[in-house]
Amino acid sequence: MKNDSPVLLSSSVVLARGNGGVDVDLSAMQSTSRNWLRITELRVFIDPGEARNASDKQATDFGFMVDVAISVGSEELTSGFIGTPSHPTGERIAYVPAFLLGPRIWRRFSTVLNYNAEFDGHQYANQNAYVWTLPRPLLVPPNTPIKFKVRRTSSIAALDDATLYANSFTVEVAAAGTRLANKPRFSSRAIPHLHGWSPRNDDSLRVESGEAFRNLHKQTLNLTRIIGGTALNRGLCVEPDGATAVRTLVDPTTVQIYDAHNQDVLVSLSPVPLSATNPNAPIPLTSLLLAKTNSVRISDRLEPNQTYRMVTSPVTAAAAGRGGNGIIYLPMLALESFREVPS
Amino acid sequence: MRTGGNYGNTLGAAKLGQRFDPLILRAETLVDVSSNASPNNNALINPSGEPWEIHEIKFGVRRETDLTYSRATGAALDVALSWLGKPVTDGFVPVWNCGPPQAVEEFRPLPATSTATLGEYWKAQDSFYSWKLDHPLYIPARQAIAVEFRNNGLVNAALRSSIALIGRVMPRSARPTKVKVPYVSAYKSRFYDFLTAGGPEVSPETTLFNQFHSPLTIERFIGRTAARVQTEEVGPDGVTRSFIYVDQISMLAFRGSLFSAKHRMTTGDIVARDWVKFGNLYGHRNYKWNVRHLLEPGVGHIVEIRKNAMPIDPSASVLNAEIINATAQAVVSVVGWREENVP
Repeated sequence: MKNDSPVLLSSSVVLARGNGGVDVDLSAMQSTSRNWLRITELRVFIDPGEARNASDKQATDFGFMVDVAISVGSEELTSGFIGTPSHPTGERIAYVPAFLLGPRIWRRFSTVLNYNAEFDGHQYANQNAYVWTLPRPLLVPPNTPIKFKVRRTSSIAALDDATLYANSFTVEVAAAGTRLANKPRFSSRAIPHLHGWSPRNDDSLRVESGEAFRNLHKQTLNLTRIIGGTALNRGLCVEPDGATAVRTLVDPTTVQIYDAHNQDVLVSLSPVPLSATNPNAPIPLTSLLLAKTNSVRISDRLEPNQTYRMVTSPVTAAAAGRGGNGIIYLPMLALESFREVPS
Repeated sequence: MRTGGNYGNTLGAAKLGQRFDPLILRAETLVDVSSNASPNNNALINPSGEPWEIHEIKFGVRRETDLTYSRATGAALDVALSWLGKPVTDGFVPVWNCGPPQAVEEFRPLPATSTATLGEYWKAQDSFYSWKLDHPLYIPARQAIAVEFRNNGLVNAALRSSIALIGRVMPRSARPTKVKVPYVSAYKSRFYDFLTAGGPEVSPETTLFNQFHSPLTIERFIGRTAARVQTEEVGPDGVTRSFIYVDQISMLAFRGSLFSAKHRMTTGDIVARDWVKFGNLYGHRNYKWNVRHLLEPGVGHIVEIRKNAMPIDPSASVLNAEIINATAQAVVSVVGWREENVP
């Protein structure tokens, strides 16, 4: 081939409830030629299939029910901690909730229309797409698959309502970029990385990230973005229209963020002066993240073995005005970064 | 100073930071159903008698009749543009396939049912589309780009169609030797029944290809999906009217999965080997996939489109006899530029 050309690798899997980890077709996720690839976006599309009901409200986002682990060769692109009832902070795994892959695409629709999609006299379940625009392009050698592993486990079962979502989900993953006509020259490769943390926050529980955000790599992590959101279970959450609902919100949780040395977090683009928050004065997640993207750009470095610390604590039920018992919060926060790996 | 062409030494004092006057020119015309019409192209000539550069092209479209009930979108209006006799578009292309959406239309959901609470969403609105050019387009003094609109008959109403050119005035001496001239070519699938499977169909090799004798730089693909619906509605005056509208499929449930696609190049290079959801291929966000690459003369893209069945849950169906004959179409365009000599 004479010139670079576009390329998109894709594969889909069907995820039943409780599916603990399914590899997508690796042969579909690698270059069909002997060329290097420059990948710029990773995309995940979730179709909940038959999960629809005219009378029950639907989730706005299924990205907190599906976890994704991505790696290329020996390099992991995702990692994270997902809390469980017995271990609220969680244990380190290779997965992040798909929700954290990037700014949510469709958050701007009005609430009523978020729940049920109607057309042609029929109602359909919402479908979601999550796009991770990589902070640096990912160079992929020939014959090296971009490994996606997806799961739908019980660790967040309280949010994956069995009566509403008994059926399987279809998850289609894709990697978009360019097939390079010539082998690229580089002394080091940028490896994008997304590290998520989803503490299990029952009502009024304060959870510290502890070592969840320790840099376990040999290289410095160049932090580029914080992404976050909060999922609520059905509980007794009462929506303004009076209906019991499952939905994703960013309001009910507050978060504190401070880096390894308790120094300011530098912000390159933000209407909010984002410094390290006062540990005694947590700020709402909505104040941290730009509403348009569920994320905020940062510019910071995390050296090997340094730890970035966060604390989440839900606003009390009374303060949030959302009833009380039975609500489980799943705050989700992620640090997007890249590291330079010598060739 | 960034310019669209190589001006050599013809800019004079402008090189030293002279400020340029902004210029906005607009023309509009009424286009009957299934007819062509040109706006007053003389209105698009810089009245100061100096050359200028166009940075952005905006299109506007509004139904001339049935204003209370519906609107028209960029799927219903095609445009043909040429620069000094050389094509900017490959014949007629839908105005919403020139640039990613910048206006409110992205956030406006499809009409759902005729319920009053949703009715307000589908009353008459203007639709606007912005095409921010990748490189400014030089226009010599007393010249204009030629514009012709076509109401392609998807809606049963005349369309008030407008074009606005936004740019800046250049020094009288400015005269580049080469100009980067934008280019758009689009492939439209046929309309498929909304619920049932259909296709596949393959785009002709001569649609999304480089028809020029010089290399064509492609900046992005734009993938749109449109729905066309015939409906009856009771207006505020109590009169029932039948009309047809065509709109972007932007609701959560439809856009991602209605169509799947494969994509390859005429050179044999594979872009997307397997069937992939339309949105996962051409982008979920703003319906675009930015992937710059070069097309040699005669080289192009081939798109294969498949309409997927939309499974419905009979128990959840709320049949609405007022919405009938729903069909859907996929449109893919390539947007780029090539260098041309100034005649």
